[in-house]
Amino acid sequence: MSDDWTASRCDDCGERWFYGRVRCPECGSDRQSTYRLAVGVLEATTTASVTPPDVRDENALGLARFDGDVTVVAQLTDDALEPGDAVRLGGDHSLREGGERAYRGPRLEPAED
Amino acid sequence: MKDDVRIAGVGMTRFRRATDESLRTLLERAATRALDDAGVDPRSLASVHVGSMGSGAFNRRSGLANLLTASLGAFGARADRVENTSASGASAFLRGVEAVASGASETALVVGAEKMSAAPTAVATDVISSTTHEREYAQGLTLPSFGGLAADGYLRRYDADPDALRAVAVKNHANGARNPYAQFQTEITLAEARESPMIADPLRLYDCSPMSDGAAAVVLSADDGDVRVAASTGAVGTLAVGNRPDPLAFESVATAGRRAFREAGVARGDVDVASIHDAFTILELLELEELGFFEPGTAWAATLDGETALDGRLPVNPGGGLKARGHPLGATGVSQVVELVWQLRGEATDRQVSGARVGLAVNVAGFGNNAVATVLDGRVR
Repeated sequence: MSDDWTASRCDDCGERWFYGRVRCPECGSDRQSTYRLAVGVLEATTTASVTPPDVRDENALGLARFDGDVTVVAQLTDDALEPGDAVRLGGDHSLREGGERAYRGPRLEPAED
Repeated sequence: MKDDVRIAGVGMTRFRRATDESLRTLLERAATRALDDAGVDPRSLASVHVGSMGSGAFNRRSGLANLLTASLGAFGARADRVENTSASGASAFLRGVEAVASGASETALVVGAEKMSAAPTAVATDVISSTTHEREYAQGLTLPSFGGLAADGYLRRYDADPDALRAVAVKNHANGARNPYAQFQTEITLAEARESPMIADPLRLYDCSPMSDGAAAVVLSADDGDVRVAASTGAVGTLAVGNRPDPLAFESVATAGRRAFREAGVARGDVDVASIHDAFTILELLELEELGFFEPGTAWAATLDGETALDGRLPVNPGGGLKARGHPLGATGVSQVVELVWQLRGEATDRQVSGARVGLAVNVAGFGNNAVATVLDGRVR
């Protein structure tokens, strides 16, 4: 998968988003730039104990909010992470493997001060 | 509704984990039951609207509408299939209602069906997961894991008692035990729900709807039927859960509900019985709040107080809901309508809601991506 897992910022109005789109959801501009998310805060977590065969058996997941009200749902590197913890979207992990297609990408990991 | 649309007949198969009957047989069986109930000859149908999410992936079958109409002998009818993931049934119903309301169809048949057992569980899970955003799919997100995140967020934000989730399951299983069409016809205890295997914490097995086989059907008419479709409408929200300003918000449900109440000219207090999309117990609570029946953060306490029980202020999911009646994706939305019709006709036997006159059904696609809300009025005779 060629996804670089960056977020997007509208060059005209500054709106930000993570889940790709051609135009700004706020002003409709098609002028946008990508950027790396900085540090966010976990708002909810779960560990999925029943997962698809190409996903790890105990899939720890979190929903984190970043600057600009950008929210991301992603795998956690550490299932001890809790809501309120500071996290960063980083690393290059195997997210799904053994299926028809392999996926690699970042996980939510503890953010160091 | 601008023009009168009536429900002339309903029918469904019993939902089961797995049936030996083919998808075609399920479709045909539900359809003939509804046609017999309506006293309608299939050759008089103007249109046939089939709802199914995954017949291609589960059963390697496409062209379901042609399969069904050929079996029924409904030659000459306009027919096609509607796909809107887990709300395919309600979307097919909405298309049928629009056809009759517009005058394009004098009589329309709506059938929802799914045979999920034809695929191995791992394949079925992957088919369902494919409804998520591509970045969420890559992270291994499944629908239960979204449910787990929402439940975790809800319990923390409102300091809610986790037993409220189990109480939804206990209530809906108790209702399912009174429904001969339900997949699960056994009551469960709070202790059993608390101790069932973890699926996506804090959601346990009894917090999750099952995979199912089944079909349900409705005959719509411009001039015949003792239940009126007061409103049927839909709305989309965001696809990626991470795109929501509030992860506990289901904008699609709120918008579809608001439109349905306005279109029907009824207030929330007029609703006597509701079929809510409880694919996970947390969804019943969140949707009841989005629909305005309860203030945010209060549906959990109201559920524990019995307000949504059969004899409560607002009986919710008297047929067992997705939790106990079962969740054959494309059939679910139609089965919600079938249950409401039985309730409004006073034919729901042991699970009858006393004095039910107005009913609401809400069927949700994906994890809140798209919702269809329908208001039925049984006060026409």
